Amino acid sequence: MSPSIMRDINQIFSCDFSQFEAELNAIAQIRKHDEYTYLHCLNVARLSVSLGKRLGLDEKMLMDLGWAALLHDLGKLHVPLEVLNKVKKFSSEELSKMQSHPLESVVAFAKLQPVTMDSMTRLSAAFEHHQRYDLKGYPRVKKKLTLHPFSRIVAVADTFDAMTTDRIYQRRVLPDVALKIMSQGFGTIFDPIVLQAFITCMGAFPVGSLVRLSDERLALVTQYQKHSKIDRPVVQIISKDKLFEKIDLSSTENKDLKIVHSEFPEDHGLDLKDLECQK
Amino acid sequence: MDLSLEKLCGEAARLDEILEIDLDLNEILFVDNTKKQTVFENVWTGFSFLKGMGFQKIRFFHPNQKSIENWSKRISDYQQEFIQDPDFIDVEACIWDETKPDTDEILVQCVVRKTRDKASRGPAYLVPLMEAPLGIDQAHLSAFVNEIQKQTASDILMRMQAILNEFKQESRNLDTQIWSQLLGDVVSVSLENGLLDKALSLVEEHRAALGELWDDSPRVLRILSAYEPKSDEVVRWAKIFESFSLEYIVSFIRQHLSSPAGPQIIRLMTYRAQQENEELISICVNESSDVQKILLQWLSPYWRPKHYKELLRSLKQAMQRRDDIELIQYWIQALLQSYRAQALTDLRSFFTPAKFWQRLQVRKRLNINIGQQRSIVKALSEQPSADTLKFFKDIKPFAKGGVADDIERVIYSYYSGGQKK
Repeated sequence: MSPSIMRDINQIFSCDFSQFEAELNAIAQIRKHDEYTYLHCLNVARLSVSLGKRLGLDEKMLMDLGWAALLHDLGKLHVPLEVLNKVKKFSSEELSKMQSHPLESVVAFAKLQPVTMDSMTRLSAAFEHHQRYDLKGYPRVKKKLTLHPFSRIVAVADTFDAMTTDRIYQRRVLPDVALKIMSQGFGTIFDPIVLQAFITCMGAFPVGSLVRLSDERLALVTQYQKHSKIDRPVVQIISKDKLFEKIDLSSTENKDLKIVHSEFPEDHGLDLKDLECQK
Repeated sequence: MDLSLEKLCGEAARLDEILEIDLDLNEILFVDNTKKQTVFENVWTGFSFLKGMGFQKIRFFHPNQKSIENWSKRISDYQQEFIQDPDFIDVEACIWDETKPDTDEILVQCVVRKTRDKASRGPAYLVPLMEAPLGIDQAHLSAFVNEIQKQTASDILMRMQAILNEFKQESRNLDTQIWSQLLGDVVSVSLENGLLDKALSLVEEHRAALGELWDDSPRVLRILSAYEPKSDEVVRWAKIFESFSLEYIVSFIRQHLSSPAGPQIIRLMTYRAQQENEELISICVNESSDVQKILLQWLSPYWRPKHYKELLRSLKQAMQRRDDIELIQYWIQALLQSYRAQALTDLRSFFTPAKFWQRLQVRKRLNINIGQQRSIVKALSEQPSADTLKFFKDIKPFAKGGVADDIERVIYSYYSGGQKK
């Protein structure tokens, strides 16, 4: 069992790892196969569990959801790396290989360990996370069953993370823009309750967004307070790579100040990790 | 969603009055060089998508309504593809601009933002916190959480059964071994949760594929130990194991009787012995003595005169091979159940001196020792009846030593009301 993987998972949810040796082994295999997929799985788990917490799920459900999210791309172990990280457009054969990963996850789970009731829920999330809420996604299914709630959560988290992460073949989308784009899948691609909860919990400008204020200043979104409106978080002004005053955009004294749009940190030579450390 | 530039720009605006839309500044530039601030998302979220795809501006070169509709429809389609799976849209292969039909003349142009460096691949801790107020209706929220909490074993298995069917239909080069293991596991989980009918329906759907499962002992033991059928369920439960051959069950009896699956192995064997006693008899006579001792207990109700010859041969073999008194007793009981009168006649010959013609066939006559004779006496003493009493009286004159004492005691017990000493 890899200590670094256990540390990464422990930051997302708590569990007795001795009960999950096969799952840990699977995560280690994913990491060995493709580091991006590993980080993506961690991100999806983090987002899913965070949303689960906000929805009021108990510890056991959060752990089950966390594992389902961590293993949602297990089928990608069966997708060759040259296809997984392809820069240019997929050929139809490659596309079909790539889109077979939910199906392949069935085999991957079967190979992992004898299937149990708990692992069936994980397997369902891996099989269903690209099926869409209206079941028009892939794999195409003949028997139309409502997606498992975990699959609906993982689908939202998966899409958000894929959109907001730079890929070899694709630039990432700013988090607030990603949420706006995703809102077009309301009730068709995504479960409306899950998507609404996700967007409202994230806020119009998620924590960590670099934003331009209406007075031209650049700021980092650092927090949403209980009374905050969805587009009026607490921000911290940035100047010359340093964080300065905190401004609560929800307070009446700042009512004339607003966020105009978000920007890419790298366009300003900023590293969010450095800024996080200064908070 | 249709793009309505008129709505975007206000009632008075016309298509040919718009020169450019700045996606970063949320600003419209008109041909008369005036500018107007707007919120694009309220009109057409496709602008967010274009912004997300790295475009900064959209320029208009006198498009007509039809061209705008074509363009916005195409962008909407790309957007849907992107939302459904962000990994699969190829930005460079998409047609972002709208041109006049059959010409290269651009009517709508998407202008790319200046190129930027990609950030390093996002580590987990950069995932945003979700701490904004949860502005969601409590009733809907409760319904969603309830849906998770109230997932029953039956719900999960129904989903799994559907997944298995889809998987089977879609998979090329299906690994039959993995497939049978997976099926076996799902059947086990059904049984572990008391869902016998679900397990049966899975087996019915995939009976042929289960063939390979029976080689996988740990999985078979899991299925066997997963459910203890009630007496009225045994017939249905045993259907799960219809393709599990008798030979395999016998080998499980030999190896796993002390495992948690032991009681179910016995239950299954009892049922199969009723259904397939002829096959089990064939297996029994060719098995090792240890297994024979077990199988003979199941077979006792099924011995018929037609089995007699085979049984007598097996008894003689057992007596020749070793002094396994217990096994000899089982065979004698089987022999009696098969054809009692003949059995007593033949058993008598193990005690009485050979007749003249029998002596001529000396090689065919079996010589048995005192221990074996005593085991015959013991086996018969457990089946008290007038014909066995006669048997003992007949052989008494020829018995010697301990055998004679045993016969004496048995005969005495007949006259003392069945009280053996």
